[in-house]
Amino acid sequence: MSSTSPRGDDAADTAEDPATPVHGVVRETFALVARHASGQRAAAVLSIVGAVSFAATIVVAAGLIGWVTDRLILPALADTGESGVTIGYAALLIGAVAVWKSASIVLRRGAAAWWQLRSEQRLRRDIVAHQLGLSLRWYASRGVGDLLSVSGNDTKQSTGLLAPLPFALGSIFLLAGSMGLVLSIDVLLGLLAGAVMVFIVAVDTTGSWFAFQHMERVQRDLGRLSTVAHESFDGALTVRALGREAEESDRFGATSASLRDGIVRLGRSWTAFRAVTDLGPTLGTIGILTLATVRATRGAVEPGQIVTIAYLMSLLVVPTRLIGYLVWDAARSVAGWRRVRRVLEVTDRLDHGDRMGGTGPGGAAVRAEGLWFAYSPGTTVLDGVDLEMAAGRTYALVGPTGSGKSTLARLLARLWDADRGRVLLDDVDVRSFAPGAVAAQVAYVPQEAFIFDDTIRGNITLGDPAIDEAALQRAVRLARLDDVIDGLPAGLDTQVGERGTTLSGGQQQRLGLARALARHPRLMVLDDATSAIDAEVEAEILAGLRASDLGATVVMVASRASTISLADEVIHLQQGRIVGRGPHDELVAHSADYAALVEAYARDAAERAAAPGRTRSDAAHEVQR
Amino acid sequence: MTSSPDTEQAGDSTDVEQVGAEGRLGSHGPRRSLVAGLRQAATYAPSLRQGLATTLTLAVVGALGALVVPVLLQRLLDDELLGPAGPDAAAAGRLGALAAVVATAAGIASWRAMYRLVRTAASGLHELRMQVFAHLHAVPTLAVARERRGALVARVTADIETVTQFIEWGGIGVLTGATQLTVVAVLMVTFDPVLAAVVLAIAAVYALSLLTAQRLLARRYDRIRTRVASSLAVVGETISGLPTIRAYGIESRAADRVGTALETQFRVESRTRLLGATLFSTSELFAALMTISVVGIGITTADTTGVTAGQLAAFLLLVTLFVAPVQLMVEIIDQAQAAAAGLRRVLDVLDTPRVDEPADPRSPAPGPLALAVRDLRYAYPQGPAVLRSIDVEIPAGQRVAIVGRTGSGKSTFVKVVTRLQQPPAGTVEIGGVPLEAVATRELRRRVTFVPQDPFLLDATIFENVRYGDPTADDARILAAFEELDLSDWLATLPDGATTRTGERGSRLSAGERQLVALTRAWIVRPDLLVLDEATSAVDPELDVRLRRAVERMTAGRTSLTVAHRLSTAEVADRVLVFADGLLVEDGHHDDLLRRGGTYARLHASWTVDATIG
Repeated sequence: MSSTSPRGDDAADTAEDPATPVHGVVRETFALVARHASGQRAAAVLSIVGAVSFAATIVVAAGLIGWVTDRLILPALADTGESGVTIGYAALLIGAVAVWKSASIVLRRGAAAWWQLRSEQRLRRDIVAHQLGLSLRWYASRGVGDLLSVSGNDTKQSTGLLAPLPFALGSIFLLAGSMGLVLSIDVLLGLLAGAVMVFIVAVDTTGSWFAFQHMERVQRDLGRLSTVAHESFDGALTVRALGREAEESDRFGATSASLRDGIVRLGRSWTAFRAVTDLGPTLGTIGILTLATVRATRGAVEPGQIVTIAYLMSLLVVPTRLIGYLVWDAARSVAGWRRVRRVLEVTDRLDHGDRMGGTGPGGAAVRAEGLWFAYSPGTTVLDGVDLEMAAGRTYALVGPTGSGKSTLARLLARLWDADRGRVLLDDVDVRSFAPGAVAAQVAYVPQEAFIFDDTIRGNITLGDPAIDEAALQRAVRLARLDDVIDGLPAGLDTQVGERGTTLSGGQQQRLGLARALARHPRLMVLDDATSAIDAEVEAEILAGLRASDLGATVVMVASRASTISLADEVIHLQQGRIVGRGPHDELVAHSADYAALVEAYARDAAERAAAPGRTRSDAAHEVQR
Repeated sequence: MTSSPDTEQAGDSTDVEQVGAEGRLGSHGPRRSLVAGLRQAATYAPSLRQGLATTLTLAVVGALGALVVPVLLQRLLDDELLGPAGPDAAAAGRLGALAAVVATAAGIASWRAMYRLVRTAASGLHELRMQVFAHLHAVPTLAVARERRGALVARVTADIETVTQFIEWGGIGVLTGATQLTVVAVLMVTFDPVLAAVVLAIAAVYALSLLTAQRLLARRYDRIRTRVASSLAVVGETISGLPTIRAYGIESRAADRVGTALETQFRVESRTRLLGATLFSTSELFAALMTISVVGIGITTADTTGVTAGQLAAFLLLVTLFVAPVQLMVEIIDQAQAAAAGLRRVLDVLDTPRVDEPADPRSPAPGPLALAVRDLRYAYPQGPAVLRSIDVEIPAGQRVAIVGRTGSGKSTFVKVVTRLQQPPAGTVEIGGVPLEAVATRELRRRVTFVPQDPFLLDATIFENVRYGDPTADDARILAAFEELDLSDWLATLPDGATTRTGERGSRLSAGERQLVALTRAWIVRPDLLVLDEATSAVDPELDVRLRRAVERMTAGRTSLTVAHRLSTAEVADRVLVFADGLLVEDGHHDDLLRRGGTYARLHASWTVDATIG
């Protein structure tokens, strides 16, 4: 159970993101873009070059259409203006601009995609690598689901703004270029066009911002809805058994209605903003065309120039809308990036020295000195544990639920470090070992062995080339996994499926044991690692282990009586302290608490036997005889 | 504790392995198009139809707004700038004002249409979601058990969301796109039929090539989606398996594996995106071809068609109005496939038959319930028989333990006799009434089943117990813990009965979850109590506590307990021993032990496990 946080642990960070303030997002957007650009300078530059080039083609195309009107259409159809241009020449120019525009689009989109995907890939690689180095204690304090979404969704989301970014940056050039073009035609028209563009951009950006806030709420509601549905379907049997279907529908309905209201709210603000950004440019264009005609009465504007303006304005709508979308994407990306950064900034990692561990045969001697551990203030789990364990012997850690057995096991295997005190392997502080040196000597086997989506062989070796066929076969035999493998179509090379779903609980535990044994550990820590294995088989496994030449020191967290009976010595824990140790029989004789714990069954049976009026109901019994 | 929990799997996960006689979701409905699907959805969610005609009208009116600028340009050029009377400022102002009024009216119409559509989709799909959710709790258990949880959740979230987005975005797109294409085409024809024909022909070729390109891309995206999913699975496995990776010091190998997977993902994704960019960019070439044709053909045929300079200039604008809707429509056609698939998955749920309520419900006799089972059989298709003709009579008030190895049929038996699994061949009578004739509400009130791995809400212990009976107040719940002798256990929790149990009860141990579930069943005061004992290892003290709670609960009422701890069988009035789907032994513990059969063997191996050697 190494992945779930134990009871009383409030450290899990369940706080939701607070509403995002505007100025923070702007600053963080710049920082985020700079970070993404620093690794992918070429792609970033190329995508922006493509976007600016694209913007230039729009301005050029509009000018070209006006020129074609003046030089070709008007002389031919209205007998005004000077001609002298052939249709072929005009077609060539229009075609050339189109090819230029297409090439710009490929460059812009291709490079932006490269930039985004590369950044996503690097970020994801980095965050996984970072988590691989962090302490398991920190890991346990966060939900696995939470960390999965940081490495999956959030990394993707935090690079999301890179796709529209070049286009939006190009659009700013486009707006400047367009204004310049209209200004060159007529100052008054240019100023009007400028006012229209500023208006569109202002509405686009503020509208996107408000819509984004609504969107966040909708996303949260959607998440909540999914949680309620998950919970309800998970408990389907209980729901039916208690006849609670109507109440479940009500519970789901309340969340669903809240989602509906959120979507309608989002729709109200989003459609209003869309209506303004659709109507604004149209009215602006109407105004500019009308004003241009009025100006033309004074000879200030040529007909071809009016066509240019109309054409330009019609091409501007989509690129300016992109600026609004960028606001949206930036806000989303910053929100994702904040969650990623919170993990990247964690520095809770294990300290290492440079000692290499002993390797040869034989077990390791283990010593713990003054171990003190708490998951959070006020919930002390280990309260000054001193312990000495001789090499090659088998120990059982016994105690009631919550007494600190599993925590002690993890500290001994150095999955975590104690808050105070130290653990020594063969008189060497575990913190002074080089990275990997503890793992090379100690094998920790949890109750639920994590099974990778691989073959049985791959799950035992975990890719370690040092484990040869002989070591593998011996581990398989010792863990009694051979019974399981014999029944499988491809034997050792059978794929076990994601999380080992094709194996039963007991088979998974045997695989976990084989994985540990294949490494010739000097210390084996079994954290309830045989709980789902049949008692007789468990006894055979442990007997085999002792008879083998491994000689490993074995520490077992045990709750089953049968497991306890297999240990040389029992260590009795209560409320984070060692309250007794010794052979089982001695402890039973000398410790009332221990006797109460392990002999609960026997005592229970004795009490039942002594109680008057046993539960056997003779009348009922007669009926079926 | 069972003698061989080795192959036992928790709770209802065993159901997932088996093939259901009760069918599965999605094998009932016909394949249907998006339109047929939406029409059917509207029968479940009447809001989808409400005010649809008004919305459509508004959308069509709104789409006309796109024509305002091209028409204005044409009128300004032909009537004013190039007109016989020359430009007139006042007339231009009037034209401009008229255009502004029309554009504003169209803008408001399309805004209302969009908003109405969003509102309709949100309300309609909320109704649909409610129906699907309720239905999933009403179809036979097995149909649901066979689906992965994630897929079930998707039916009421992601699948419906696909449809919502399609209606909001695709619905508007289709409406405005189609209207815009139509009115632009009509306007073009009135300007110059020849030019219009040329432009429409090019647009048709463009649409077809775009559709082909979209299909090509969609296929590639489908292919790479599986690669991306497997790369993300590697990332997920590395995060979930981190404690194991650490314990075995294989961090660098794990990092390499992630690196390789991500590099592959990057290569396939970036290549496809580049292809998409290239295909998308060809639309500019088609637009240029239209422009060149308009200018070239327009000028050379002007003598015969009589097209004016203003009309030709307007044509150039109309061409740009043509490209975007074609692109949008093609994209929507493709999205429609995804939406249709999502909608199909949703409607398939609603097509799966629910468990029928009896037409003429009958009430079992009051008080403790007797149970009569005759010739009960149960089998999964393509699977072995799970129950092979079980006959048993259980009088009211009897305390029965059911034992047997994994796969003996004992769990199926208790689920069938409580109607959690159906339909059985053979008859089950409860309190003198056929099981299928009892109304579900009454059945669930009088018969309570506690599964092996009971489900807890992410809530306090109080709330979890109250889930059994919403009318129970805190005092009654505390009294219930007292009655089951669990008060001192409750006192060991950090916040007593207000302790939060965590997601799926994860802050409690498996045994503690059972204690809460037992109390929850206890406050229901059922007339028939059915328990499936937990198999997980719990510490002996807790184990004894569990057994005692069960003993108190079952005293004086009819109870069936699937007993993994044989101490439960020792104190039962009667033990039923199952093997290979048959009831092989039936009697009191003492008698069965003496008989030296299956039960005696089970009991012997359990004793080894339970006592210290």
